[in-house]
Amino acid sequence: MQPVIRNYFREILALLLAGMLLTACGGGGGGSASSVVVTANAGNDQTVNANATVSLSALASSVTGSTIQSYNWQQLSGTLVSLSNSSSVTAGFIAPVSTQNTILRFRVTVTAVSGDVATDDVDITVRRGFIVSGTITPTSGTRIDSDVNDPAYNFISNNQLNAAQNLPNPVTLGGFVSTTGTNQSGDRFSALADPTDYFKVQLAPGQVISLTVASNTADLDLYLLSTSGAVVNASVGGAGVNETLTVPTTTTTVQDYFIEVRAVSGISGYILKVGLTSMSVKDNGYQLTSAFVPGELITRFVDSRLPAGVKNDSLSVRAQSVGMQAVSGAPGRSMLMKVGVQAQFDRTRKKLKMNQVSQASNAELQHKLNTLLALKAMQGRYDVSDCSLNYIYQPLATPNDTNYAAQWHYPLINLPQAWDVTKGSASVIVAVIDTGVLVNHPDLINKLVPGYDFIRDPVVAADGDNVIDANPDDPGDKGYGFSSTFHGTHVAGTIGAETNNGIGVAGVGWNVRIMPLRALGVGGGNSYDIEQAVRFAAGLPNDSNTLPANKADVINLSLGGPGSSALSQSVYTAARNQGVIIVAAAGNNASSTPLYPASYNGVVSVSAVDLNKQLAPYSSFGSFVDVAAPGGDASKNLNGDQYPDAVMSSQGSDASGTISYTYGLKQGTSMATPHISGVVALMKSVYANMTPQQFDDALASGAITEDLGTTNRDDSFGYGLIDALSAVLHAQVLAGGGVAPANPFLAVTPGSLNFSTSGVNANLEVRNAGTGTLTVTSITEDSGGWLSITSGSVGVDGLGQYNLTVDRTGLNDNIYTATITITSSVNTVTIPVIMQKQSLTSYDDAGLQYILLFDTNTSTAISQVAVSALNGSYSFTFPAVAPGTYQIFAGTDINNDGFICGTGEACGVYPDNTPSQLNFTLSADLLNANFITGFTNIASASTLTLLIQKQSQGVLSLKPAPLPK
Amino acid sequence: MNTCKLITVCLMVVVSACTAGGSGNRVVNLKPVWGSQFCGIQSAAGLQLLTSITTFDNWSGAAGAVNSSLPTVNAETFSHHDILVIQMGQQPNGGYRLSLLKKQASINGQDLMISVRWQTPAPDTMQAQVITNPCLLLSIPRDNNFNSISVYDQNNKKRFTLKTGSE
Repeated sequence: MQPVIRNYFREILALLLAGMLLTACGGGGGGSASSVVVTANAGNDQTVNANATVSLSALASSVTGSTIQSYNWQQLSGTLVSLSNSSSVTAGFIAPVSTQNTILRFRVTVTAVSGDVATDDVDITVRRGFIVSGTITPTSGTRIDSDVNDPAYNFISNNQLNAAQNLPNPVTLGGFVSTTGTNQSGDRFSALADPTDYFKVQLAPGQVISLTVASNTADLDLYLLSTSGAVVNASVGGAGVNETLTVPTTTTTVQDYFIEVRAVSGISGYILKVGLTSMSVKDNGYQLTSAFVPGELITRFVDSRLPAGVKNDSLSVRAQSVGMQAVSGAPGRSMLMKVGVQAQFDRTRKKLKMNQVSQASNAELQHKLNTLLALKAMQGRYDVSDCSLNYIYQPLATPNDTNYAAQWHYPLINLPQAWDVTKGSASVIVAVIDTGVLVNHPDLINKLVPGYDFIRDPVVAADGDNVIDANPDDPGDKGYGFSSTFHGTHVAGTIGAETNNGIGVAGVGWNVRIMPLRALGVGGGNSYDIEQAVRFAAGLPNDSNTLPANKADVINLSLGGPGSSALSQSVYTAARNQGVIIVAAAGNNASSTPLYPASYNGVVSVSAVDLNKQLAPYSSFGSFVDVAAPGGDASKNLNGDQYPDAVMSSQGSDASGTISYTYGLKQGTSMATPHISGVVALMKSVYANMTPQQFDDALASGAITEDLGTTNRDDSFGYGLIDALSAVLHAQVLAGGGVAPANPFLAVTPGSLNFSTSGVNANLEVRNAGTGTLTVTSITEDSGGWLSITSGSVGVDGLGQYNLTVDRTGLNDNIYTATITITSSVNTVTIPVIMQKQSLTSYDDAGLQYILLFDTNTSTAISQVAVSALNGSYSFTFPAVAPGTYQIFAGTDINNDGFICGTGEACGVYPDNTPSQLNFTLSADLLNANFITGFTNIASASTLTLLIQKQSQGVLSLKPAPLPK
Repeated sequence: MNTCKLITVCLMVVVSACTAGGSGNRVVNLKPVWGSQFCGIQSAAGLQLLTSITTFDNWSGAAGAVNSSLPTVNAETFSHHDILVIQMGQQPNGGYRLSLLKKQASINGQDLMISVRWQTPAPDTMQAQVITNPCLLLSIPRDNNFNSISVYDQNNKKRFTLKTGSE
């Protein structure tokens, strides 16, 4: 305040003096008239980032002559912010996010106790927010169902065949179906159902169509229809079952088809894929093309849940209660029932309350489709504990012997699988000490090595001479009876009948050979003769005064008696010490009485099982049993073929007076024993040096048996039922010194190629997927010119990378197929290739993408945009983003539940989902936040359910989302 | 010889002559038709009398399930004969066999007595460990007056009896 002039001179002088004093005392803002000077200081101007926490401090303010009473901060200009602690010396605010740099001006007012006041201003410059933008590209071949539940997405119904949605090939499509309205306000299908989606697509033979069902409780089925709408294939699993089917290979050209996704029950999103070839098909057991008997279902009811009138009665009444015909079985166990066609199937449908069934393209497919859908209906019944198709099983290696189909005892021990490993060696010899062998039997004549007849008693030998001799031909043992057993011929046939010769039976050992030795004749045999045969077979001195050119590897003794002696034990010990594995029958006494020689030390004793792997009712048991094998039970016919469940092999008949060569059934531990001998022979074929001890150890370890009965060893089955496959694989390990043998195997990836409409280049990786070495000998293709193969990085063995190139020049619009064949020194691999030439442009579309900017520090989505595809991609921009760390998520909300990236929905994330980079730090504009979305992408937060905010009008808010789950 | 003894002898002769035509030790010729150690699946031990081609077909249907060399029999066989099936029942090894011991069977009263060799394993012998169902089929003339058939083994032990009801 300026001093006042009272008189002219003195007053002017006083004022001057007062002024000088005031000046000397400092201040510059004012003060009390008396002596108070208040100085406000709002701090220095600042430049901050958007979203920064800014602190305004007036600490530098001061008062003289009084004390500061209060502070007051206020914003004078700029984007309004929320000031905290505005009445404190220090206030704060969060810098706003803006698309431009902005200046915020603040003023602090400092008030002294004296009432004196001073102010000061400060400018805070807030840098603009960064731009985050990018392009999201759907994975190639992505499409969206044109009628999904999200009301924000363009809607075109595809619920009728004539409104089928066109699809490219290959394609990955996200879709939605429902059997009822969702009852959710805002849903497109709130009131009405979306029961089916039809798609039209060109498909090549063998292509795979798969349907992944999002909901665990919904039942969606997949149909492939001809252009007339008839079913040509179907996959109709139950609730939550993913469906797969292949395009029939009955045609060789690309065809038009319809694909139908049908909701059977529930509401669910789904992912439909077309394009892979049949190499990757997994049979879910509900496919029309699965190998099952049309019209047959195997059912087991829950007895306690059957209606009163149905419970305790016959198979036929139970079958009728579900509209089917009875075939076999009985209450209390599985029943085989028949599902009919036409009128009879109508009865089944009514009893099971089934919907109408689609029309199939032929009668057999219709019958199978009826069966599949009846299966589903049965599986959903309260009174059914289990229902399955009657599958048709094919062995892996199938001999063409006439009676092979009756040899159920071979698949029982995984013998066909073992034959894929080895078919035995002709250098392996199994001695059959028995009644001799019909040496001219057509199924044995080519499988024999020289044998011997050791029967001394001419009455027992019945061969017209009274000497032991080198003729093991079985003259018959009928004695006073009417016909002979020709037992040895049956046993020898099981071990080594000529296999895959179009007649007769197959033998376990396939190529192994038989040394026929006679020791049983009329009325049986005796220990001495048998033991001479054992010595001969083992290459030990014997009464014949001869030795075989090659001793036997295995001795089979399907015989026995109650007597034993130390002397006899020594014979078997000596034979075993020669490296011969001795196998003998445990006996048919249905008791634990030991039989010999099976019960001697060092002899493998064999009990018998039936087709159900149960101990045969006649089989002996006891501590001496080492292993079990099929011996049969002719009182049963469990597999429903024309034969009782006995062992089929070669045999003879002399009932007519002359010997005829036949095939027939026998049962007993006699029949079980040659199964073991044959498997041992297969093992010896793989590992010639296998010792008896090694075989015993393999048995005891459980490595070559299926454990039946009590775990590990028991008196009924010994160490279990022989497993021929495990046995030969174990022999391979032994042969390798305990290490699996070199087993080279050519493998090629990918297993199929689909260049779609625009693919030009691809690579094939050709490698040895096993051990050891192999060489690629040729690589060819049959495209006719549009596909070419060149070597990339390839070694001298032909393994490595090959480059494929497609040239569509001059081709008409169509789908083209080719096969690449890669041949090696071990195996050949074929790779199917599909390519499409399409002139019309069809853009990928993953549906309306909700794109969230996710702050990883606060775990909130701070911004959201929704974008539809334009020319196959999505462009997005977040115009002003504060510095920080973020992720960007994009996805569809097909089912309109408010969450993206759910099961069956499109999803993508930026940055890519790698452990090293789960987020990005924003300190400058990011203009290339490009990433992929699609129905096969799993975002890094695949367990993260991202809530999006929607309004009923489809205008999207930018409210932050709650914490993710 | 005194008169009393002579009259007694004559009377005995007359009595013998009177009884010879109705009963007593008549002889019937038997013919083996077929036999095997593998007859049927679980053939119960016992006798069966097959009186027609139909009953034979029924029996062979079961027996043929495990045996492919059944006998050839036609309807003519049954015009004057029946076929008796003697079944030993299921046995645990190959040491069991049935064979005809005597080709002639005698009728005692009204019982046809047939002798067979009922073979079982000799002690301490080794046997093939195969399940057997030994049987023997015999052709029996139909015109004989017997209403039962009994089978005896080589030790004269009666093994089976079958009421035939024939007159």
